[in-house]
Amino acid sequence: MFVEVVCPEENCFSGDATMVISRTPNGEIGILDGHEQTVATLMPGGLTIEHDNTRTSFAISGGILQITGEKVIVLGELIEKIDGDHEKAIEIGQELGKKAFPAE
Amino acid sequence: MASAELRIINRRIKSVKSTKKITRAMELIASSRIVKAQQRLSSSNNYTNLLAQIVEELTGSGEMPTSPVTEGTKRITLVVITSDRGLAGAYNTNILKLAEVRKSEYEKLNNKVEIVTVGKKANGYFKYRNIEPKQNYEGITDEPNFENALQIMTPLVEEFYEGKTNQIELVYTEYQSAMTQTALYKTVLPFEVEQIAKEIESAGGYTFEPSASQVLSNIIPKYTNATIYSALLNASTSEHAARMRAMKAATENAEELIKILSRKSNQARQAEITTEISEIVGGAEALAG
Repeated sequence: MFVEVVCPEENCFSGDATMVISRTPNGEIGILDGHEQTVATLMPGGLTIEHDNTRTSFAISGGILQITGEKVIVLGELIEKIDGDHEKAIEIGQELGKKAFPAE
Repeated sequence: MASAELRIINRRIKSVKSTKKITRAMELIASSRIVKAQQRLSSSNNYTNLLAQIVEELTGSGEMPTSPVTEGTKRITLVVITSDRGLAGAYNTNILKLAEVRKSEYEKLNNKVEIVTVGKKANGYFKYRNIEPKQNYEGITDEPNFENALQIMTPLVEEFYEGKTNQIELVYTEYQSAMTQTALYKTVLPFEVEQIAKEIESAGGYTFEPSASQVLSNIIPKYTNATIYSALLNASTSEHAARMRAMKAATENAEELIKILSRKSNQARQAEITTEISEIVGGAEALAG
C-alpha cells in the first residue's frame, strides 16, 4: 500500500509500505494492506512505518489518518523523524503534543 | 559659479549611485527569499488540500459550510497580516485599505470589531488611528513557521469557544504569481460542526475511530490552523514578491536618474571649460592691447 505522511511544513514520507503502526483514542493500531476504509484521529505519540524490511519512526503531535483502498494518508501538525524505535517516538511525540495543544 | 554647479551635480550622482546599490541588494535578497517561500507555500498547500479533501469526501460537498449570518451585535476579530518592514510598494497599503473597508462594513451592521495585527506596519497603522490592537505579533512575517500559526490561532480559538468573539476573519494577501498578489479576506471560524457530523454519519463508506463527530471536531482545529498558516505563508511570499518588484523599479529609476544627471554634469563641465577659455583669451587680448 502507498503511504503518505504530510505536515504543513514538509512532506515527511511517501512511498510503499507493508505496515503502519500508530495510536488512536481506542488504542494502538497496526494497518496492513487491505484495511477497511477508515478515518481515525491519532493521539500524540509515535508513528512507525515498515517498508523495504526496515522501520522508520516519526514523533507526531496528533493528527488524522485516512485509509482509502490502496492509500494511507497521515496528516499531522508537528512531525519529526526519529532516530530510534517506536517507544522513543512515542515519548517525543507526547512532548510535541503538549506544544501543539498547550491547553490540554 | 559653474564649478559649484558641477560639484552639486556630482554629489547627487554619488548619492543616487549608493541608493541604487542598496535597492539592487534588496531586490536580490527578496528574489532569493521568494524561492524559499514558494517551496514552503507549496508544501503547506499540499497539507491543506489533503485536509480539505478528507473533509470534502466526508461531507460529500465541495465546501465547508459556514454558519448563517446571525442578527444582532456580533464580536468580530479581524486578523490583519502585513509586513514588519516597508519598501514593498503598495503591499501594506492595499491590505490596510481592505481591512479598513471590512471593519467599517461590519461596524455599519452594529457589530463590534476587534483587531489582531501581524506585522509592525498594521500595528502602527491602527495605533496611529487610536485603535489599540487586541494582540500584536511581530517578527514572524519574514519566515513564518507552523508554530507561529499555533501561537496566533490558539488564543483566538479559545476566545471563540468561550464566546468572547463570534467570528474570526483573516485579512491577508494571496500570492497568485510573481506579478499578481491580491488582498483578500477569509472567515476561519465559525464552522457548523454538528451539521457536518450528521452528514458524515449518513455518508457511509468509512469507519470512524472513535466517532464521526469526534474525528470532525479534531479536524476542524487542524483546518483553522492550516488556514492561518497558509495565510501567513501567502502573505510572506507576497511581501517578498512586492518588495522585489518595488526594488526593481527603484533600481531602474536610479539608473535613469544617473543617466540624466551625468548628462547635466557633462554640460556643466563643458560650460566651466568654455568660461575658463574665454577668460584666458579675454585676458591675453587685454594684455596684447
